[in-house]
Amino acid sequence: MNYTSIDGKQFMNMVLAGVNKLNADKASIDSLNVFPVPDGDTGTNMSLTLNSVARFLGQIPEAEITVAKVAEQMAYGALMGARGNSGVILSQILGGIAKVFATKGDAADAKSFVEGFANGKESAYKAVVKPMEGTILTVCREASEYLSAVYQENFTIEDCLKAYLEEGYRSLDRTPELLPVLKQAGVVDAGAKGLLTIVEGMLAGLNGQIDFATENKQETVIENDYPEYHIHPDQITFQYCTELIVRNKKEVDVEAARAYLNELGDCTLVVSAGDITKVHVHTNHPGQVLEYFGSFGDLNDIKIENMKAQSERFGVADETAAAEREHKALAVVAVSAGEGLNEIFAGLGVDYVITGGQTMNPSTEDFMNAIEIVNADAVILLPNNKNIIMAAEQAANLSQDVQVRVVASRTIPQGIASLMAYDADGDVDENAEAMADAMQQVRSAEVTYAVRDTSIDAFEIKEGQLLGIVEGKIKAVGDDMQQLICDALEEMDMENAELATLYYGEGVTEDDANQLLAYLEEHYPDVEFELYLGAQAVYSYLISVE
Amino acid sequence: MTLIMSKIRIVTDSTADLSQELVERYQIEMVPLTVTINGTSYKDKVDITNETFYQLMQSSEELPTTSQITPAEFAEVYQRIAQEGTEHIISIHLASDLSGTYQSSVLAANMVQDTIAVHNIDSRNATIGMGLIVLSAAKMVESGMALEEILERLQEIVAKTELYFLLDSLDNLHKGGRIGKASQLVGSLLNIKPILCLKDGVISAYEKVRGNKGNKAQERLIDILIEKIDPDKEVYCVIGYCDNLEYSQHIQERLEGKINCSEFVYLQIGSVVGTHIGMGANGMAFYQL
Repeated sequence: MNYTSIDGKQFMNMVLAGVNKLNADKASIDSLNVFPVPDGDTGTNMSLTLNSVARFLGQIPEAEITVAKVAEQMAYGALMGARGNSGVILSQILGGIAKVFATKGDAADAKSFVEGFANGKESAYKAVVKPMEGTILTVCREASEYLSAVYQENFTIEDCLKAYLEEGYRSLDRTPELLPVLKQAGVVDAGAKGLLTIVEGMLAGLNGQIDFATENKQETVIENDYPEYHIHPDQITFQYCTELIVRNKKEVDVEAARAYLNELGDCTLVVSAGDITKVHVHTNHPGQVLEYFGSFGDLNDIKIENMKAQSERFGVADETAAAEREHKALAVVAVSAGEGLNEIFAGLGVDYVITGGQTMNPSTEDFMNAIEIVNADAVILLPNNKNIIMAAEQAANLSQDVQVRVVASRTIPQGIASLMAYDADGDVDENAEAMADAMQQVRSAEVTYAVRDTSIDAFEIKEGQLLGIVEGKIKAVGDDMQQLICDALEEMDMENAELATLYYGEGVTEDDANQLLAYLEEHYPDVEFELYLGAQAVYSYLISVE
Repeated sequence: MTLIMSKIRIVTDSTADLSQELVERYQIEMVPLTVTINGTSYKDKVDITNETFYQLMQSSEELPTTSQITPAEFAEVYQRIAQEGTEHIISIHLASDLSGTYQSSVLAANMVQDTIAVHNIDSRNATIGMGLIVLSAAKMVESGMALEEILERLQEIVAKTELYFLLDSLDNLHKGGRIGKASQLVGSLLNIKPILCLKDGVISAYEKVRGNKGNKAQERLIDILIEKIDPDKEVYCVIGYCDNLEYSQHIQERLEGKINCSEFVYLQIGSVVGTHIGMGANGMAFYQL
């Protein structure tokens, strides 16, 4: 269609189409991740970020939909929902675009897209301390520069998006030349691919297509793929967004469960894999939902949100939680990934633990809520994962009344080490500095399994093989746990080690862990070993050496 | 042999943990606190040696208890010293933040004020930190320095004395209720050796070091001392130990050449403080003017 100008409803449809397109394609974006590790996947993170956009767009009353209002809500939703580094950069790009569109009242022309994309690029580069080329940053820069260069007065909106995509895909193909790890793994940059997927969706949305068929969906992986939001009712019929995870003690009949939920509300989702069932529904009877699924097993990650109250930013529930906590001068919020680790963090003085969840990547909003809950003058955030640092930093930047510092811990062991220097009575800046120093005292490793075949550095990796990741790099690959851990430890300067700690994950039995401990103690008689239950998902062992 | 009594005498209490040798050498009056273990009460360092105490503590299931010195006990000591021809007493005691002993000494001073002038000093410290202050006072008295100057200098020394010490565990400190700001560490699932700092009467958790064997924490304590001590200024120090003299010597070995210190004094941490910090504690107190 030859649109030269669009109104708010059309713009909203474009954005939602972008959201839906990315949701549909996220598995193929995840498969581009360099590390074949089931943690913090780019496609999933971008999709979760965008679902927050959809959620906030859904809150605009029909009568108030304008280009400017859609832009505003899009920016806010992206900012709050940003998960993972790719999600944070995406939120900055969308924020930059939104700034331009927010000045357009209820009519955006082709030129708005040229300016928007250019401003999106500016905003993304500003947000990243050390911009790395060969990523989403390069692609959003080159695509928008090309668009600005070729743009002519007679361009339609479609012409603009097509020009952006044309150069965007050329730029995407060049990413392996700029970033050697991509070349080695034989992939292009996942975040960049995600961005172009969204713009493709927007182009389709402009032409009236909002829904997309999901490609190569994996039934075994449960992701937070909440239903798409392409209806924008004036009123919310079902008030409570209810989500939970069931650890099944008995099998859930998915079809029957869906039918039950459809009677209670809408936007129903029930996905089952192995002994876990994920549930999402909008309903006026959240209690009945909990009752029903409680009969199948333990309920986890229960989230009930009042969608009406949400339109006034934060829900009432959060404020109540804040009021319940005693006011403190200084508090620490840490991201953790298992019950054992949660307890360890709590024992070291952490005031609030954000559970990492399936992908381990909490959103900026999760951090904002935690900051509010701990009710302190100053808060130190421990992301404990390199892919969560930017979301934490974004939350720190957004916090106005609370002094927030991020101690950029890249691993759980670094987070634990940083707490050795934490003094709850000290000054926030001095603490942050001492904690950042202390976390450098440990070397960290993670043991997990490969989710696909790939080759990285000298390693030929087969799906299902064990991986030893030392300081963020794959250093050991194998099939035998004991051997793999020894290989990983060899990369951790055991010669100069005094203490090695193993935190075993939820998939490891205590017996196995103890056997491993006994073996290692014998193998390294000069090093003191400690073993704790971390109960983390995905990683069989987290290891620190100091 | 007649003793030549100085016109200024130093009184302290047994938590200064001075050795018998130093007490005699400087004619310091060290008034004992009472320590009770397994139902029996002992006068600290009078009825029971540090060694015997630590042996008993190891085999005892209950934590020993300690009790402060009463005003009457102090008054008696002050009066006795007055009769020996002393004109001034400088009475230096365990941090008022941690014990009522200093308060007792102030009350006693009032009780005897018609007989003798007692100058009470709150050390704001304990054990070897306090021992270092008392020892410095004794040396000033011996050098013939005027009372006013001694008191003035003591103010400065008290303000500048820092004690860094390493504990085997926080259990005793916690049970004894003296944990103060180090309380955040109690209840950790991990094996943690706390390095604590005692300064201005406040015990704070300076740093935590992971591990059960403690070697790592021992080296870290020395690193902290090296960081804290200005190598260009003379430092006055006391190294303290409970049952691990070897590590104390290792502290000296590692510090030699890195700090400007003419004398390393060793003191054994005694029963009263030992009760509160547990066996296996080590540390160093120092000040620089």
